[in-house]
Amino acid sequence: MKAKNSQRNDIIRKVFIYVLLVAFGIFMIYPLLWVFASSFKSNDEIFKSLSLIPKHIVTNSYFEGWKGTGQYSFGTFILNSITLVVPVVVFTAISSTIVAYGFARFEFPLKTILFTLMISTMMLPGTAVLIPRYILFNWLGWINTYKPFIVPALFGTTPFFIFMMVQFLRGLPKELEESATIDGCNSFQILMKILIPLCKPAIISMCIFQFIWTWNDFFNPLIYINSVEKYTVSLGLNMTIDGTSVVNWNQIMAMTIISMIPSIIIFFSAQKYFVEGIATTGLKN
Amino acid sequence: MWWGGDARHKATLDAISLYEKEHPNVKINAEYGGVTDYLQKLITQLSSGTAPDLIQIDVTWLQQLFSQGDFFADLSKLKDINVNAFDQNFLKNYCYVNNKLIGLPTGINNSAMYINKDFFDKFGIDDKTVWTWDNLLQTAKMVHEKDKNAYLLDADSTICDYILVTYVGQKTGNQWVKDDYTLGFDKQTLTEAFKYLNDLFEVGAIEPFSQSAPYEGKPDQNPMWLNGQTGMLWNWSSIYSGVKANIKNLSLALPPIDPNAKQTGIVVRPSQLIAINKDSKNIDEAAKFLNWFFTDTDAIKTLKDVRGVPATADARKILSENNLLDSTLTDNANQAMEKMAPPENGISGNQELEKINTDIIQELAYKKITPEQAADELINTYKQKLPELKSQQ
Amino acid sequence: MSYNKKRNLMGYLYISPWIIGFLIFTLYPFAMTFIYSFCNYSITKSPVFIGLGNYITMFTKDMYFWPSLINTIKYVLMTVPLKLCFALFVAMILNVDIKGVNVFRTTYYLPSIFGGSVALSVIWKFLFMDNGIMNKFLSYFHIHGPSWLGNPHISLFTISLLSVWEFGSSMVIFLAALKQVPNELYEASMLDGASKIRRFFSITLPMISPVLLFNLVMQTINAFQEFTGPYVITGGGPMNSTYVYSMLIYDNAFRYFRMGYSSALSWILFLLILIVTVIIFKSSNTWVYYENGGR
Repeated sequence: MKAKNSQRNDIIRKVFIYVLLVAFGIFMIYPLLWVFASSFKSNDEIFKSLSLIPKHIVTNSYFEGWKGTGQYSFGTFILNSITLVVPVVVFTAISSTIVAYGFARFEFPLKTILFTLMISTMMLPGTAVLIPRYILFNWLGWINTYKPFIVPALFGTTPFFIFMMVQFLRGLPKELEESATIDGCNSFQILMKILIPLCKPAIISMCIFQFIWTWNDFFNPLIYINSVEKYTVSLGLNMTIDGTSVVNWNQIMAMTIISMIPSIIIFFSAQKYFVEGIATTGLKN
Repeated sequence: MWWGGDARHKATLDAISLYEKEHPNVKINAEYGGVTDYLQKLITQLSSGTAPDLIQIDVTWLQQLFSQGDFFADLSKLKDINVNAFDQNFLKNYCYVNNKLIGLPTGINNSAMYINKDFFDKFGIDDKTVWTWDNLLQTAKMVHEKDKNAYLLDADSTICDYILVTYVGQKTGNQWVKDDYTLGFDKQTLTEAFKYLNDLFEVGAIEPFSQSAPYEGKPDQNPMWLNGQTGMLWNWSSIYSGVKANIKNLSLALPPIDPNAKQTGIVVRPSQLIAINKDSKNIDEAAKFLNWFFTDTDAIKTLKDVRGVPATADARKILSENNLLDSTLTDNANQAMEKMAPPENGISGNQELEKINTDIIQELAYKKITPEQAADELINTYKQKLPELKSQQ
Repeated sequence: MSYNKKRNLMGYLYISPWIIGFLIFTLYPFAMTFIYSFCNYSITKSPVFIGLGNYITMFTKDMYFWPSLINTIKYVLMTVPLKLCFALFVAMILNVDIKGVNVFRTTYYLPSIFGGSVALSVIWKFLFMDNGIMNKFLSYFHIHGPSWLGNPHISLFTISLLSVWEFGSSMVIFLAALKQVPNELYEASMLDGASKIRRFFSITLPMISPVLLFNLVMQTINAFQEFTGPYVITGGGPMNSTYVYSMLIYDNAFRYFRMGYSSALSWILFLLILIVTVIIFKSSNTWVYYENGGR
């Protein structure tokens, strides 16, 4: 009897969770649906109605938007974005993990000060450092290349990720490493063989974040990239926005959807690694 | 380097390839994009000496930024440019800074009233009405009395600022702020202007700010305007194509003018300027291109009115002969030129002062202060701010 | 070389990429901004040293300084707790092993993929205008919705909602942390008959506290620098109720072209964030639990 009761409770609980998730989910996803719907609306309808269903379905917005101004198609921008984003993600993951390992597992003089210094580099608003940073990259001859994005990634200049990895590493038990040390592993082997597998969920989320943020970044590419042939997706999206006289809104909506697809795929397919995280905790015994 | 929308990009690219075909030894790299953060990029480039050869700039940036720095070549000194194609007064008023010709105007931009004809028909208003402050207020009152959800004017605080400044300017005949950084008006006139603005709010001429707040700064995107519940939009003629895309039955008029006005307050200015980077290695080539860009018949036909009604009489003639100009827009531009007010001086258009104005207008609209208090507050704030701004010159 | 010294050296070796990166890419821009903050620098002319002038102006003359600072502090106090609670709550729900959880996770993360795209500013206005979607929704429950963006008392909260809505990244980090909590701990406490709420406070919270600290610090830093939301949606209005500190910095730099003053404003914000962060870190000694005993 008791077992049956708890089974029923379980079902009720699950139904409750589903209802909650769906209700919230609609709220979360509504804007995206709206953008999607708008990409099929005629331009004068977009601002006039809240409705999700277009009155007159327009289908050429994707085609026209993809063509862009004719000189370069949206495909070029997507390729550019990939060339820019992939190295940035890989380098960030590597450098941030290594630096975080140093901060999380070693004692050395000035550690606290260096750590504080690292965190504090996030505290100065970007507006303030914009011009000196540009002058620096210009002096290095990196303007109109992707180097201002890729090279700093090699040196772990995103404190957000270092800090994040530090916190995850510090949450892991030390016993495994201690036994590995006794087995004769050096510190680098410990990082590679023990800690990285344990931190997989964190590393995956770091990659996802860096991918999405770099992909969406508008301001930095705008400042550092001049040639239209090197424009990234976000620059391509903003390319026809004239502030005062935007007329092709449905194309902008259509390209917004297109530009989000890679991020959605990446996020969705990385899910299984979160689930895998459960299995790895078994290692702790 | 320029900003713009699709049509402008396409036309300019076409013009460039045409030029390259005619001049096989010249290769032009086009840099273009949206207007978002264009200015920031330009400033960054200028401050580190990496700006392109030819640069599209906005006139409103001139006074605060470019009058101080020495970034652009003096176009009047370049022999390849035929300055005479342009109206000399127009150039003198807007394109010369410290006796140097900073840039050439791409087109004419004037203050205008956009009119939704359907709305006007519904309320029986003639779209040919010549507007004065009085009939504007009367018509607005009538509209709102007939339909509680309709407002004659689509206005945010920036547009209310146009109303305020124009109203005062017509009474005094002065600049808003004089060249010596003193006020161009007295307290009485200003109070009167604020009272008029307050009347507009009271009779329901303007949608309450609390309702239109999401569209502050973008009145042309306000659904009330798009759905024909507001009938008039005071704005620059440069946004014509964007407005036309949404309001099919559109007509244009001039902003209200007091019958006894000492000056009309109607602003006619270049839509943008194109300047040549002083540090450019190709100044001569850039000048040749620029001259071709503005005077060559084929170039004019290719570029049409993507940067507004062209600023040279020749170009206007060529375009209208070929039926490439929108007559509503051209007629309005011609009317505006007839009634054009003397150009606004730099300090009157100062962005910080504009923010003070719009702040006070919002307080008035939210009924936090009376028109008298608004006038007091504005004058007091200006008395503190103007010496500061002067000392920074 | 002794073992300890060697370990010290190893530590420096591991963090050396960051040290090099810092010296090359960060130090120079920071130093320059610091110098600018003592200068009258209008971009077009070369900087002129004016000592503490900018800082004095800020505290005595600038009528927007205090209001914008207060707006920012209010914004931080509203956004950070709300966002973290929400993110943790959703992460806990999504940590359950039910069918289709992948789809839900992606759905809930979608707003964060949106980022600051132009489409977002358009849709946000539709949601919160007077007869917008939000108020239509409320009217089904016979609630007369307020002017979300038009009422100066509410507008800042509405902007803060936008940020809360993009809770995805905090949620993902919480999720990753929840996955690292060993199941054995829960099983043990279930045998002890601990209630759900008790389990949350005695196991989950301590186990994810390092990550909670991380999210808290990061969200605080971000919230202090919030710019996009108010800039894109309200432009600082109505009546400057959403005119936050970063907008003041931006306006001074790129509307009034006072780079020096803007740099000075930035450094004040830097100091403020630094102080708050240090306080959070100091307090964390009492509530953050590290598996290996801290440090």
